[in-house]
Amino acid sequence: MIEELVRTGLARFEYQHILNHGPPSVFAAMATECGGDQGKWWNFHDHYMTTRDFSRQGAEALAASLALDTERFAQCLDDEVHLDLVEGQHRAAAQAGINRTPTIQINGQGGATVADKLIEQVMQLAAELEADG
Amino acid sequence: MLRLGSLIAVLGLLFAACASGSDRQQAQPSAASAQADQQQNQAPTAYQAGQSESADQPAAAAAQAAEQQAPQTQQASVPQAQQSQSEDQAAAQAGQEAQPQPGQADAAEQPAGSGDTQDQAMVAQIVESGHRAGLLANRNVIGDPNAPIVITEYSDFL
Repeated sequence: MIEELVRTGLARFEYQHILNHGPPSVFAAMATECGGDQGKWWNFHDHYMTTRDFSRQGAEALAASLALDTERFAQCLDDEVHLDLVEGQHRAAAQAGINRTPTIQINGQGGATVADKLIEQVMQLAAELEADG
Repeated sequence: MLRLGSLIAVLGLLFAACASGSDRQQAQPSAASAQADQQQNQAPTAYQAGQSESADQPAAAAAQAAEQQAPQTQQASVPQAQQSQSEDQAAAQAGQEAQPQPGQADAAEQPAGSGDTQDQAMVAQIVESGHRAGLLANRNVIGDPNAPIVITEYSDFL
């Protein structure tokens, strides 16, 4: 459903990091951002959710399998280049009252955690947009 | 008297016979020369035609004929080689002309307006299905930056 909305240009999809599990969550979020530095944010995210090996070795192995520059990737992790970014996203979500994962919002509203409810919200908003012309 | 006349007649026959033998000896070389000329004329013809040389022809005569005809054959083969080379060059030029030039392949293979037709068909399909070609992805954002609906997922890998 979300993919359909995105492909039609009706919606765009954003991902925000939540760090509810301490350092492992921070590391996984930073590893994904380091993959994004080499143009593989979504590839890294999708495969990361599949492998679910959130160790340093697992992250570097995934980077190698995606043909990333492993030295550059390792340096990115060592320097914690994206620490401020991921912690900032977590703080902003917490300030918005979002502490459960996954949480999905439509235009900054709601807190759907069930797909049916999300679809209902999206269809309602799409109907409103069409009504407005 | 009669015996003297017979003797003169016999001498006359002998003289005539000797004279006739001398003519034959002088005529034989001419015949041999004519035969050699005929062999020389036949040898290159048979060689050019790819026919095997006849076994009854002397090897020396054949060799001599080949030596005499070799320059002619070479002279004849050079123009043929040049002609063959010229034909190859002409064929190569024709091949180059036949090869499609960059940017001309589509125009050569497809009739004019077929590209527009394909584009129109693709656009019609996109309009019908509601899909847009391509999907923008930038780090953690995917989709049209100007899309009216923003779906945000807050998630933790763990």
